[in-house]
Amino acid sequence: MNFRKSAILVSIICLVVPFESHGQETFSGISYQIAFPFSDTKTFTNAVSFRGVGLDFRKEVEPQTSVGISASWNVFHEVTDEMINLSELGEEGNAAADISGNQNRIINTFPLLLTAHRYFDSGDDGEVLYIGFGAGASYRKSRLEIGTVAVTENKWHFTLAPEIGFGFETGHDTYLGISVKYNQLFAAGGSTHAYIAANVTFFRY
Amino acid sequence: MKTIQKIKIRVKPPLSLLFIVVAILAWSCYPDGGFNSVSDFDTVSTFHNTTVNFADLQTYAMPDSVIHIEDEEDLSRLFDQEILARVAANIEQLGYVRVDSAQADVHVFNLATSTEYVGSSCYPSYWDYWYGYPPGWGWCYPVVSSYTTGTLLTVMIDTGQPNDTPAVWLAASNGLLSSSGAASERIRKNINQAFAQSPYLGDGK
Repeated sequence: MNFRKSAILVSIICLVVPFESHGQETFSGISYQIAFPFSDTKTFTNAVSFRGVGLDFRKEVEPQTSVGISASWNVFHEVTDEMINLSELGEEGNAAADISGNQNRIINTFPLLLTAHRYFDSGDDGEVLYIGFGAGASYRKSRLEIGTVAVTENKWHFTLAPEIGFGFETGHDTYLGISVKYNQLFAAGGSTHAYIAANVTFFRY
Repeated sequence: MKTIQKIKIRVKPPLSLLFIVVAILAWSCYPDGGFNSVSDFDTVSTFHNTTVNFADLQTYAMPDSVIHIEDEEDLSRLFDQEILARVAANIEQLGYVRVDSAQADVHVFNLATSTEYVGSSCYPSYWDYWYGYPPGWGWCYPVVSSYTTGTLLTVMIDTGQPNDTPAVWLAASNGLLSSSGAASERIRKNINQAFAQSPYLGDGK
């Protein structure tokens, strides 16, 4: 499934899923995300991602506690002419290669997580501090373009994502949340990916 | 008399609509490499046998022509002499001494092709007529599709090894050999790059 189809599918799901909630039992949010790469994400694309968007759906299961689902899309991109070094090539493993040229390196990640959050009131004006934890899977699509060739790797990663954030009321039924979420994508296809996403989320009850 | 019941409609744009807008915006600024000129797509790949001690290789011989393989009509011979001169200059700068082929430690060939290879391929070794080399010394490597812009291969063969031994060093410069503007500059730059990223060739000289 390519990106365009994925985006369309997510959009359709968003249209179908009832966002409007009753009372204050459920709430949903949309976020803009800036992501800082670590681990093999940084090795491949050593650049901050300013292309990130996410959706959160949460349901209060008891006071100050919610469970929900989270979906997001982060795009890491770097243009580089860094040399590519390959070793232990060939049938006997005695060949090495060095490849130079302009490269377009892109990683797309699509974390799909089950989440749980705990909220702590921190003020009379509706401010709230919250911590959360997400577990699920991330679909990663890495693409290296060099010359007229592109190499693509698609993998699913088991993912854990702790989060800490702060929210404050911006209207009758809206909140603005600012949070930091660490996304750990465990090894798949020989690589482990990680990034910290700084999120600005618009929540509505 | 009919009464018209007023229905109060609360207009509240769904969050999903916002998500779609953000997704479209994100998609519209999806990264590309920003490569504009033909030379932006040039690549230089070098391969070598890691078990070879290049300090043992002190002399070289090189034919005074570039071998054009396949689709020769697509390739210009306009730059053949420039290629040969540039390769010789780089080899000699590393410390190799040019001698007759019978006394040379290595033979260096320059080959041009405009054949489109896709994926991981082996260059065919039907140029065995040259110096009597049989098939088998070519090296398989992730060939970069060359299209009609042409690829220059520079191959170094250890004359002290059996004839079916793979080349000890191979350089592939993609995107060359077109007659478009700045071709001469690109040839110079890419051949120099092939040797610059292969410093081991100068070991012990």
